[in-house]
Amino acid sequence: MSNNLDRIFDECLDRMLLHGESVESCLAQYASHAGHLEPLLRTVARAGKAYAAVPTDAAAARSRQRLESTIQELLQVPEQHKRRERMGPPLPRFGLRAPGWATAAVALLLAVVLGLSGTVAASGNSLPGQALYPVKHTTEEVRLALEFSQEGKASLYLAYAERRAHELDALLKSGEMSQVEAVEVQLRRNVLAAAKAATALTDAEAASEVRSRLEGAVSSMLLRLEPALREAPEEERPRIDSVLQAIGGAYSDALETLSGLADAQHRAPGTGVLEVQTRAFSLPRVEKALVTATAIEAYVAAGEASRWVSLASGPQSFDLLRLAGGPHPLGRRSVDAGIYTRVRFAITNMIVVVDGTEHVVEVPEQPLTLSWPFRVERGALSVVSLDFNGAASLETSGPGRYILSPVVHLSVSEPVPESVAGAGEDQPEIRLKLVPPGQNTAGSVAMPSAHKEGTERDIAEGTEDKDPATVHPVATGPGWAAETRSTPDVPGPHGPAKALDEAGPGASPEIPQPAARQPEQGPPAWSASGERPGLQDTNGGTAQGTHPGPSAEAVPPQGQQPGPTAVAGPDGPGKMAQGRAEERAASAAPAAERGEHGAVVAGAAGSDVWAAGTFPAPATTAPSTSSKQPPPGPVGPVEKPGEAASAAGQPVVPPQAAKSAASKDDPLRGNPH
Amino acid sequence: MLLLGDQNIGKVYRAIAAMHETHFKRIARYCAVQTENAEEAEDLASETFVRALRSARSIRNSGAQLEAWLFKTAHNLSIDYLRRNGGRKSAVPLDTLDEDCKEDGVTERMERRQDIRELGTAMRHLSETQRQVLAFRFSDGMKAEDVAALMGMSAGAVRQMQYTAIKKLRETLETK
Repeated sequence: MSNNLDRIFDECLDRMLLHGESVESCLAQYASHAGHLEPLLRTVARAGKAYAAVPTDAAAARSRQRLESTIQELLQVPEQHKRRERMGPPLPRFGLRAPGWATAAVALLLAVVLGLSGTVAASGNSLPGQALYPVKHTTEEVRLALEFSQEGKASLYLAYAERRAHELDALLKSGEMSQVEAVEVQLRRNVLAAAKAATALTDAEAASEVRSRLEGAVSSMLLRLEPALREAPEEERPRIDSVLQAIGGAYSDALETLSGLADAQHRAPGTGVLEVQTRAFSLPRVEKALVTATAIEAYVAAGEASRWVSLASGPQSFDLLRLAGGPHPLGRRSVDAGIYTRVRFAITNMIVVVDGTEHVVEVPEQPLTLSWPFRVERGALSVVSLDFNGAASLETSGPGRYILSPVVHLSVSEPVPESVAGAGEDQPEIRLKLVPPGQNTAGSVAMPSAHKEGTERDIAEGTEDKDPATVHPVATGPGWAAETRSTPDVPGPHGPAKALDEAGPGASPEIPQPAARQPEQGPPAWSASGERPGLQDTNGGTAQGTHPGPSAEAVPPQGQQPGPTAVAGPDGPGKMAQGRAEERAASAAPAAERGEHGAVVAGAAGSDVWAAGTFPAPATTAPSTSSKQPPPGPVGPVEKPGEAASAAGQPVVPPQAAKSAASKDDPLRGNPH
Repeated sequence: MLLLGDQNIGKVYRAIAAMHETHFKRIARYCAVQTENAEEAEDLASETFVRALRSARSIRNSGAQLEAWLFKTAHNLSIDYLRRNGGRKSAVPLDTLDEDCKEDGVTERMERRQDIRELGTAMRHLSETQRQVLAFRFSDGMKAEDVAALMGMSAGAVRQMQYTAIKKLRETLETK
């Protein structure tokens, strides 16, 4: 009985103290014990009411303030002596504590000389690897500890991400590469933490502010770091590019998350036009590439209204080869203005004609999803361009057996007023990054993107295996590259892709080189195009990067598994600046660095990353790879929508003509500068 | 000296800061039950967190352990306070009803705080363990099972103890 009463009383306590119920409601529940319970519960109610008045908000605020000043004080008070008292002589401890102690000892010495505040101030400009850097890092940690609001935290994380970007910039300029990946991991962590903090904000305006800052940060950072990439020693570029792409992936993740959150703040009423178009698909030895694409959709991130929006009414069939030189609209629709984060489409059918024979190509079962945030503004046209890398996308696993594993570069134009867009002139194209495909294999529809997996995993692990040494790819063997065909030189600018193609050993204009590509044996330059015109291939040939005309086109080696892969890279028509091909190659390399792909190349010589045949990766990994490929390069002008029609309307051309057309399309993939 | 090389200390500070946001109320109420003085309780709660910061190096950055540490420290501070003040009635001068009381209903607030003093006086007739059980129970959002876990008792024992404690409290209050 007593035990039972304990339980009943306990339940009443829960009801009153945890759920705010009244004495009366408890008594009603246990009417048979009411007489006994009532005086007790009245006492509980009285005490509960009294203690509920503690503490006051003012007291909590005072305590918080006291906490802050205590932390400041703890940081200011020389703890050297305290530590000795508590832990004994510090020296033997050094080895047992953080590795940073060796350098910290120097900082300690400096601190004594400079005074503490001087140390803290001095640490502000320190770089990873330098004596005062740990001070800087700890100062940041502490500042975060003092920050109680999510808004403040988001702001701090964003500021720290900016710091990391500055540090990266400084490291790259000084050629100090050893700490680059460490900073990248921190930067990504800061970016994702900022997004996470922003998600906890109840203030939509504040969340919107975070999103805007992120959006601005990603462009300014890339603008700042890109020159460093261009000026970096060639052998370091794949590594730097990998870093930049990983960072781009984190920003992309963060923006995706927040675009939905802050939706109410930026959803502009009205509609704009979104067009998805495809260009360039040059294929060696292929006379026709008939493709049927369906389910061309874009994902609008609009909070609860997030959804896939169809951009085309039905299947679109076209010959990819005949698109060369101009964009072909896959879908174009008037859609709600707002933030879009992904574009997807499925290739349901593909037939190639090789040497007069039709072959059915195995296509990915899942739609190809490319993720990158972009805006559609009211009354404006936004154009998403998908550039297939033909050579890398089509593989063969045996005679007559072709497999499509799309390698696509995605670029997005800045919205332009539709009237202007119609003119197709001077549309600014934002440099865009990339593209992850990814998920294509997974067919994932939801938020997850390949790069997300990568970044989260990486961060979870703390560090990534970025050692380029581990990435070097090895060609797995001759593919149909062995049947490389040559193409005539074509006057005019070339796209990096073509140039890259030329890079393959054995490639040479007009001279078919049946030799299997073995990029890993090439010279230590990773692109034959542009600045490295004289690269010798392993066969003693000269890569034709500087020549306007594409030569032998590389194709993936056999045995590679198909995997849809999007490749991010600089995009732009017109000038194919020297060195762009290298950047492009670099953009492909990171994938390898992440170890998610089969092969690669990074650093491998003078060969096109894609064409080298090292790129194709197993379908399951391909997505991640591409996701890491933000195009570091500036982007060229937007393709003119008007060209699409003419391009699409091109008559079928003989192989030779097709080749020319293909080569012409290359410039579209080049970067303007 | 800055905590050079000791990168984890920042995390511990952060954990304590976060715990302050979620547990300041609990700790303050716990102290209020123990000390019968609302203002003192708030100060003791604040002191509890400051001590946590100063002992950060010896505290594991684990939520449960940090919580237990905080309650233990709050308890000790409360007991010390009671000992210092002996049987003295802790009259709360009006001037300590600072600006807090200006926020809202001064009268009501003063009544509540007066009530806390009366309850506290009655609490002194309970055993330390009984008082502690009630202190946990009247802090914020703790069930008998939570109290049992923190005190190393069975939930049944806590239920029984809180029952007898309230019963005794009631009797004490009635006799006044």
